[in-house]
Formats: sequence, C-alpha cells, structure tokens
Amino acid sequence: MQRDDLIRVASCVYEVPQSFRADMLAPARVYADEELLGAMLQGEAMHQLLNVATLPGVTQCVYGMPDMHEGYGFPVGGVAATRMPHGVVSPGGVGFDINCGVRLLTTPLPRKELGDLTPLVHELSRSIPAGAGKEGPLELAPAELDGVLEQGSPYLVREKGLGLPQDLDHTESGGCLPAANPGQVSERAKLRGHGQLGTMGSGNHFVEVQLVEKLYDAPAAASMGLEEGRLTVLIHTGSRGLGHQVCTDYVRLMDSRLLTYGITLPDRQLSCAPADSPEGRAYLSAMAAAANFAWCNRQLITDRVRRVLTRLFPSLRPEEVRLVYDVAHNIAKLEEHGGERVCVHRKGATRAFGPGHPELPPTYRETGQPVFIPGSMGTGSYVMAGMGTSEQRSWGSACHGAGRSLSRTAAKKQVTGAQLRRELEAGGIVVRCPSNQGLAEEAPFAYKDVERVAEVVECAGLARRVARLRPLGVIKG
Amino acid sequence: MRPQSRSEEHVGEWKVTLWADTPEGLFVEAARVLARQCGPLPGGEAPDEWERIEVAAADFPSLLADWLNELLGRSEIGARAYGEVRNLRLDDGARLQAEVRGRPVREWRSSLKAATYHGLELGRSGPRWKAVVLFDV
Repeated sequence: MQRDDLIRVASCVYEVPQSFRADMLAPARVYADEELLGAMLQGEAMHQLLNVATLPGVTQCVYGMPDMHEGYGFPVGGVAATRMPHGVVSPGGVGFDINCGVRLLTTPLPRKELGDLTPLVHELSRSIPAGAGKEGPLELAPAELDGVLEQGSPYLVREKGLGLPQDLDHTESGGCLPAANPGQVSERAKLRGHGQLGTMGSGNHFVEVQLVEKLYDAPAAASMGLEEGRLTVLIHTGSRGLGHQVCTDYVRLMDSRLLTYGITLPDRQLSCAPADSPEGRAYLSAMAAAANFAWCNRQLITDRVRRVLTRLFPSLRPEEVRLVYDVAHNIAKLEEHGGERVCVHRKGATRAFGPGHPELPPTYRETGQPVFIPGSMGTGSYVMAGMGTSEQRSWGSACHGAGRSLSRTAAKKQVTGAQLRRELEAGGIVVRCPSNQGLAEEAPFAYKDVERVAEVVECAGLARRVARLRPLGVIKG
Repeated sequence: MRPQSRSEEHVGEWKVTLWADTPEGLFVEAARVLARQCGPLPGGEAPDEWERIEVAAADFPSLLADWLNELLGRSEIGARAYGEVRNLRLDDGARLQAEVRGRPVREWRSSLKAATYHGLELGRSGPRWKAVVLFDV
C-alpha cells in the first residue's frame, strides 16, 4: 500500500475508501500526521486494518489509532465495531492478553521531599512478582478463582478486602463484565492462570513510579487528583496465562467453524463467529471472565502498591493512594453508539468516552473518561480525557500507547541492557528488571514519539491532554 | 543436515523460520526452539517421565501452531521446558502423536503468549522442509 492510496479527509485523518478492495465492507480511517502515517505504511499494519474491514457485520468504518503498528490478524491500535446480534465477534480482535490495560494511582507525596527513591522502587519490585512464572501473592481455591472470573474486582474488594470501594467506581465497567461464565473457560486456562493473580508478567508490562511534571488542563487534572510535583504509580498488565489460553482456545474453535458459517477471511487469525452463535456466545462469556481476571490482577497489584507506600511513608493513609482510573486496551464490548447496538473490538486501543457519557462515574461526568498513553520507560506518559467527538470518530476510542517502531531484535542490536540501565539511572530513573535482554527490548528508542502521538489524538478530537508524567522508577518483568 | 531456526524481523511480535529435512524433524525443532525460550535449565536434575501427546488440527500448517500451543500451555503450567521429543508421528496430514519430556526451568523467562495462525507457513523448500511461525509476545 502506498501513501497515494489514502485520502486526507481532515487534519490528522486519512481514509482508504471501501472501494479500494472488493472484499472490504467498510472504509478504513487512520488518525496520524504525515510522519506517523509513514510509519504505519511500513510493514503490514495498513493491510491488516483493511483485512479487519472484511469482517461480517462490520459497520460504518474501521479505525487505526495514531500508535497503530503491525500485529497479527488485527493491527495493534485497531478498532472495529460489528452490528449486533448477528455480526461477528473475533478473538483475534481482542488479542491473547485479554483486558491488558493500564491503571494510574495518585499519591499526595511530594517528590522534592522524598529524596532517593531506590528503596521505594526496590520494595515495589519485591512485592509485585514481575516474571512470567507463577509466584502470585494470593493462593486461590478453585471456587475462589471462579469468584474472580465471575465477579471481577468487586469480588476482591468486597469478599477479600483487597482494595477500597471507591476503586470500583474508577475502574472501567466497575471491574466486572457481567456476561462472564467460568464454565466457558477451559481447565487449561484456569491452570495457566492459577498462581498468577497479582503478577505483572514480562514483555512490555511494567509498574512505573512517576512524577506529575506538567498540567495542561488544571480543572480536569484536579478532578483526577493530579497535582504537579506529586508521585503517581502506573500499572500495566493483563490477564496473564489465563487470558492467553482463552484466546488460543477460541481462535482454534472459531477457525474450525468458519465453513459452517460461510465466512471467508483474508487472515485466519481473524477467525470469528456470529456473536449470537453458540461459539460467539461462549467466547464472549469466556472473554468476560478473562477480563474480570485481568481487573483483579491490577486490583491485587494496587493493594500491594498501597501496602508498600503506607509502610514506607507511615503518615500516608491507604485511601490517599487514589485510583484515578483503570482502562482496558484489549477487549470486545457490547455498546450503544448512535442508537445502534454494536460489539466494539479494541485491540491495543483504549475506550475514551467524552463528558456526559452515562457509563462514566460522577467524578468524570464533566471531565470525560481518563485515558492513559504510556510512552516509554525513558520518556514520559500522558494523562488525557476522552472527548465527546470520539463517539462519532472512533467508536469512543483513543490510542493505548506510543506504539513500537523498532523490533525487539533491532532494539537489542542498538543497546545492551546493561548500557540502557546505566543511561536510565544517569537520567535519575531507578530500574528494577531481572533481565538485561528484556530491558533492552523495551528501550525508549524502540517506541514512537509519545508527544507526537498525544498531539494527533488531540488534533483528531479523540481525547485532550490533561497532564504529563515523567518516569522516576521502572519495574519490569 | 541439522535442523535450523532463525528469528525474523517483526516490529511487535516474534517471528521464527525453521528448516529440517523432514516434516517430523521440523516439529521436533519447533519444540526445541520453544523450550529454549522458557529459560535456563538447572544442571544435573533428572528429567521428567516421558508424556504422550496427541494433537489434531484442521490442516497441516495449523497442526504446527496447535502443537506449539499445546507445548506452550504445558510448559507454563508446570514451569517446564519440553525440548525433548521422541516417536513423533504425523498421520493424515493434520494429526500428531509424540512423546515429550519436560525439565524444570530454573528461572522462567518466556514472554510468549501463543503461536498464531497469522502468516503461518509449512511446506517444502527445495530439498528441505520449512516453516514460519509468528508468536505473540
């Protein structure tokens, strides 16, 4: 695909018309500037977005967020909606890490009074198992795991006392998708997830201690409890092995049923089934259970963060470590848009509802939903607020990060983990990562410029900047 | 010739190309490549007992992805690397029987979530067999 195949329809908006390919059922739009667009045109990302536009029941338009890059099946940063009840649901449109997401905690701790943050970062890394194995802090009996899968965060907060009631108001969907059915989750998935609750995992997952560096919108920042110079903690993880196995199971199942439903796809990883078919309903129930597991995972990590902070800073009360919001960025959700019931697939994309949306808690009714755009461990992250225009422009979505621009192999060719560790520490960032290789793979230069990405998100009317956060401590798996 | 593998460039995930003289050799090499991702093995520890595995798939290429996902799931549950394979038999083009043996991993390092069907290739390449698999990381 060439640059000339896209039509510039507005500032930061480019479109590939439906007529571009005979099998497309909707046009494709991407939000980018010329430089980000150039990056999208390298590799398969655009081609993959056009493939998404062939899914049965896809409606209006499919969207590529400013951080879009090549994935498998769906591109990372792809958003598509299918008409309910007969349009399809695609496990590949959610991804293996179901409800991978981000949550931000604020504290009243002023950076300038804290001195060396090494003990804090060290204690956090000890309390939050980072590796890919199963070292979770909570042993769950089978019935308790079912409680997690069926009830999500409310189960941990209300039944186990692991969190505060106000955490639930500030979690997307209250931390629970009610369609969850643990019976649709395979035993293998449960075995993979057993012992992983409260663990971060590896890859690009992290817990980051940050400083609120700059406010762009003071009233919105105030509604989120963000004050310049204060410490925050950003948590990025998902549903671990349990979610990975749910996706594996249902991609395989739906791939075997494509002929039954007369579905032809340009990429088998887009395998799907009508949402109202037995396979579609089963997947939506299993996906919801895995999403609930992921919310519980981030909730349990939140509890660990609170314990560490209140131990190291005894004057701090648990309720002062406030959850700003928790958003999913790999999920399929049944939503109403313009009076139409649709299944919105967000693969590497964040929900970004604007002010007044009935699903937002009272705290954010005027501000819009908090949206987090982590950059990289060496640069910074943005807190944004969803805009009402996102409803018409992206099914109420925005991007989920800066997006990779370099492969892991290429990153490792440019820097060693030890070098990078020294560079970050010289820049005042405390690093805890057991693997030098894993650290090098996530080098800041392997990601796109988060400033540019945030500018495009705002220019496109998806979300507006509220605050910029600067990393002070990074814990990686 | 010895089986071979090579990591390919991919911006977000892990893409690997495998070569072997026979299709069976390709499946064995795939298991070895996956096991190497799990992490270091402690020296001197006895391996587990041999376990029998059967995998059936929709077609021959997806059999490779399903085989890898079977091993990946077992590995993660037991924190074991299944790099040893014997008596591997391919039937009807989309069915596999084999015996595998795991070893405990000292420090689990794999960041692989699953083998995908995206861009999956398996077939003859000149005198050898070749496969391309993309893993989600």
